[in-house]
Amino acid sequence: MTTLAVRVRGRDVTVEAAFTLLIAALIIVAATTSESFLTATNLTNLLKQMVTTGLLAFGMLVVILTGGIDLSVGSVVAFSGIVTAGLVADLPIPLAMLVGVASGIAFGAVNGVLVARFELAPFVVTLAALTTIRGLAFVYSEVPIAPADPGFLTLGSAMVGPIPLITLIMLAVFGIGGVFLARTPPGRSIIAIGGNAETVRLAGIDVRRHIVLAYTISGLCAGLAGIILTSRVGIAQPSVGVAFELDAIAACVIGGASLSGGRGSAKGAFGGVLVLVLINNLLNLYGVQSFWQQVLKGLIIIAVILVQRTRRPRSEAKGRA
Amino acid sequence: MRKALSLVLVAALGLAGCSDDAAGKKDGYTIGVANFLLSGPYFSGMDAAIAAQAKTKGNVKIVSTDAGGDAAKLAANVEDLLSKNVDAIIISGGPLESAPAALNAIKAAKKPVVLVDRKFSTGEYTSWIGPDNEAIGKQDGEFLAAKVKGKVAIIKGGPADNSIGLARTNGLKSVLGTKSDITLVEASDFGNWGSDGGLTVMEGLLAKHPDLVAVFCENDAMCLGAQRAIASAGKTAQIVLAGVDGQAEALKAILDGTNYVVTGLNSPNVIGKLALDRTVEVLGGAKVEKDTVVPSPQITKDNASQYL
Repeated sequence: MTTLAVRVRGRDVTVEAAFTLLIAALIIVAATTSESFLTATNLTNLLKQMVTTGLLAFGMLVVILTGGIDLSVGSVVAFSGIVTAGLVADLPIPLAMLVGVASGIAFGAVNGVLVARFELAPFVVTLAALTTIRGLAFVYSEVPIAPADPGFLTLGSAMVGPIPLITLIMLAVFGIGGVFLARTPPGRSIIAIGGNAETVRLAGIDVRRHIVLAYTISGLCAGLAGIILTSRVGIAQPSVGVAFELDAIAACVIGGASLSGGRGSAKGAFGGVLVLVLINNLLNLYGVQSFWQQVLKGLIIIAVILVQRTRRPRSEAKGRA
Repeated sequence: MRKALSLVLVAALGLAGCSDDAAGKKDGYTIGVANFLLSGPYFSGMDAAIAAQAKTKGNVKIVSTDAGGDAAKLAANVEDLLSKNVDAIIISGGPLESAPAALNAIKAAKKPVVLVDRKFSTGEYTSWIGPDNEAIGKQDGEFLAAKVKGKVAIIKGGPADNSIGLARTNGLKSVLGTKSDITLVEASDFGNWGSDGGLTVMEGLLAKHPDLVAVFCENDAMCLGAQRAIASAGKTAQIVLAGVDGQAEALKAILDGTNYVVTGLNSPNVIGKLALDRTVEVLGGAKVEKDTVVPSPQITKDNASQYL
């Protein structure tokens, strides 16, 4: 157990150092070359635009740590958003939002049970969920829904001092989630399952229950992201969120998470989110054409991961010793 | 995604069609509708409008198919419709530039084909009914030119429907590009035709160009998102919006006298209804107009109520 802790901590420090450097470099480049970057408007944009990807990335991280993947998050965003917007006509806003988040939790739990209890491949289960939940969003409403009550916009537009409320919510998820993963028994079990599920089973820990928990957390994050996005835009569309899972996975991987499970941290994933959002923002401020943005984003992701690779063997060797 | 659901629907409709054929009535028509994709409200609205208009005729059966955005599937669907021996086919081609395989199969079967919304750039068709997207862009441009001076931003939808978007933007540019008191700026990233995309792109524009006076979006959905971003930035009094389509929420915003000032109607209901009528006329042996441009009235606060 002590070796595990040291190993994890050792790797965290490496990833952190790499990120602090990378993010600092991005910010310095941005601030010195674009006069729009350090404006209040742009910084507020950055804080708002990282929220959806951030929430999805944390949920995705928890699932990836178990060695799984959750491809359904984009569809859950659409479903929770449109159901919430639809219910606002009949229910008080907070209650409608609660139903939206609850739908995410329910979808996540179903994914988890299918993966854990029926031992189906996570890729297949969540791919099926991706199409099923997207279909349900369209069944619920084919056309966009715009709630008439202006109170619906409060969550997405409220500011706490200079910081948007939704950014604080996302930071809280990373803060609490980080502590959950690193310091609580269920969190540590989730990481250990991704390392070696059999060992965890032999240690007397209920592996299935923890896997269900992981997917449920991902569903919760996606449901939350759905209501936040809808409240921000003011209109729920059943078509929203296509390919959102890709950015979430990219953020985790950039943040040092291993897709085979057992390795990754909330701090790393948050760094990954920052990198993605900063890249997007910079390319826009420079006026890089959209198709080139896609190309550059892909290349930058590969470059970041390659840099991490070169760092890995050293800490790997330390850990395995 | 929507594929599974639409397959079930198609199967159900197909079965319904079959059983009616079996009843042996030959005084009515069966018309096949080949949709390239039904996922957007515009396209599903078109499909629904065609079916609704068919119902009013009493003797017209509709068999609708969805290719889920796959051009090869569209051709296969058309072949299936032909083998079901439909009397005519309506193609809602969405963003497709052309569909040679589908059109050739229909030509070989000697059936009439009516195109809605999208006019294919190649191949033979009986008739086309759709909007003039460039004219809608021009209309918005003229309205803005009379209303504002200064920097006007353009939010583009992106590759999913690029030539329609380009036509709209080019129409706008052909008017505003010649005005000395107007500067045009184009957002570098796409809004992807949705409100969330419009919001994000607008946030970026506001950071880069704080002095904007107006925004044109290639559709209403993006403008609705952009309107939120402008409101959050506290610039509602400074920036007006111009869209295209006539989406219900946009009409409401225009009617309420917000900074959403104009849009151009591009109604799937009108086009779908006309297309079904046109197809029935063709089947009745009438000589019809080849290309029909459906007028896209300009909608402002003065007339928005009549389109809601």
